[in-house]
Amino acid sequence: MIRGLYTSASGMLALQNRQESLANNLANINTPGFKQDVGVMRAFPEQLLSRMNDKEGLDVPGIPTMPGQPAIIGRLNTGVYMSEALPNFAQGDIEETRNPYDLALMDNIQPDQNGNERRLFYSVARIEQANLAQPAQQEDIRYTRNGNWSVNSDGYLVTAEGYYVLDSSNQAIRINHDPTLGTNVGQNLKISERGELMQVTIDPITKAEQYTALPTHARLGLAVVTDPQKLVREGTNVFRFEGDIAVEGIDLAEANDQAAITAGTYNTPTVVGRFGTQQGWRERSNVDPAQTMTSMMSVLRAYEANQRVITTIDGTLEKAANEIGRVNG
Amino acid sequence: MQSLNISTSAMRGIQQALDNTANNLSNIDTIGYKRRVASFSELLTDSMNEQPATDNQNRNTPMGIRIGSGAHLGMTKLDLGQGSLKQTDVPTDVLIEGDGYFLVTRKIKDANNITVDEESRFTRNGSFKLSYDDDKGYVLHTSSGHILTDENGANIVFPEPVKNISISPDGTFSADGMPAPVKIGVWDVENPDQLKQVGENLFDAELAFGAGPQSKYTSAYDNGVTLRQGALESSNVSMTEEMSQLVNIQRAYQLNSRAIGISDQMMGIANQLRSR
Repeated sequence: MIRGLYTSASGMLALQNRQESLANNLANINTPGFKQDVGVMRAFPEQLLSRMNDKEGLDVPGIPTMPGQPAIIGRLNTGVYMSEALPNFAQGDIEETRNPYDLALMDNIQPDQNGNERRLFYSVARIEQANLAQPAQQEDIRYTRNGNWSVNSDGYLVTAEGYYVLDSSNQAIRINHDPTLGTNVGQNLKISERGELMQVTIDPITKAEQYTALPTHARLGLAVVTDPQKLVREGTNVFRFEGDIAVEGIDLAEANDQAAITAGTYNTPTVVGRFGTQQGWRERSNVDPAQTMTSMMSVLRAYEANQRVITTIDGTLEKAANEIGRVNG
Repeated sequence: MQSLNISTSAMRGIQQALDNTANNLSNIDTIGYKRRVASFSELLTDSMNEQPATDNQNRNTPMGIRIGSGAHLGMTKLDLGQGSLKQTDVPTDVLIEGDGYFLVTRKIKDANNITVDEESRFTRNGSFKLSYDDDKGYVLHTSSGHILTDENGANIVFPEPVKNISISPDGTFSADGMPAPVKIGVWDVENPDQLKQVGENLFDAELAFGAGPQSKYTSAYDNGVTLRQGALESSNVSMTEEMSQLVNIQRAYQLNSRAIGISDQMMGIANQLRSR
């Protein structure tokens, strides 16, 4: 009886957690690169119930019924809890922004030989001002799908949260005021479908666009994460790598096996081969509002049902407390 | 219940995005206006550990359950796309074709009429008027009273009112009654996003008093920028885009307000536990 009370209470608690997770998904419906979380509900560990001082009991296979021993009734789950919030790494829609510092990342990276899911991320890092010239420390590197960037006052490419965008050698990308660049790239930055960083100049005579690779930053730091669900979600759109999963740079041989991309094809979104970046576009959140709203309503109803169970049990208890044993009641 | 705070934070951000869209829409006819694009970002995520100790197997994610904190407006980014051309045939209207800014200045005087400082501003608004300035003579100024400068950052001043004004694509300003042609300065700003917007379509050029623009900026003519006389650059706000953005954020607002409603109902249900 009272066990049921706790079971329903655990249900309410779990549903409350789920509601929080759903509310957070809904709140981030316009956050670029956001990946929705799916709350996973799980039953409490099972208990084996037995009746004391009774030889008559259920015959549970594998467990002998011994005379004089408590008879086993069966298994019981005494509740539910939300064990984890599983991020869904499905690709979000992409939308055009025409901003040179917006980049949509599209990939159909296939699972590895063991069937592990693999996903592609940008690597970003928070770096101390003094260490900007060096590659970022491994522990500072974070992974994100948010390609909605801007340029800070020092000329570095940064995310909205202030993380520096890294190139393939884990160095912050500087496109303005860079002494090694000679000239400022700024709005003339071009990022190819393969993530190569280039500068567009217009030939003074032929008026044709010329693409030259940035001398210091060859490619964006794209990282393939095996089993991305093992990444620690830090909020602010970034994930942290921790533990035994594999993070590797995108394989250049894999990237180059496609036909070479001719210059000037930056206007149409294309997924070439196994991954592609599209400048001037950004990836939207993959939250499905209809699905989230429906889940919220079912959470509400389940919550209500659990409350009814508690009140019913409470009513029964009331009877036990106040009516049983009353003479001439 | 955290979910109330989560949805509230999102609604606050959405409201700010709505403010931004409203400002873009209200400047749909402002010459040289550059729209801003609101972009959201996620707030911190916390990991709660309220699981039974036995819950350490068959997990896909690290230990604990994550509770997010919602979203906020991360930044509003300047969209520097070129606005469409608006033909006016006014001789003192100039359009910049390409990336570049006019430098305009205004003297700031103290009570004794002595210049103590100078406001240096960048603008893409090429709608200039020729009028008389007490200190100098005839000048080209913007609607905010800032005077257009030449390629050295000095004010363009004529002793007499000029006629038959002609501005060539390379910025040379010549007219009848003018001693010698001057060249209108157009400056290349590497990172206009980082300049402070001071209203009236102006960006703070962040030049110290007396410092010329050459100390910080390079001339934009080297990058293929040309001028066009008798035309203005319209605002780069597109009505359809802003309206679809409006619909988008209104729906997001509604969804989050529904989420608050549902969380509230859940709290109500919890409250009714003992009210039978």
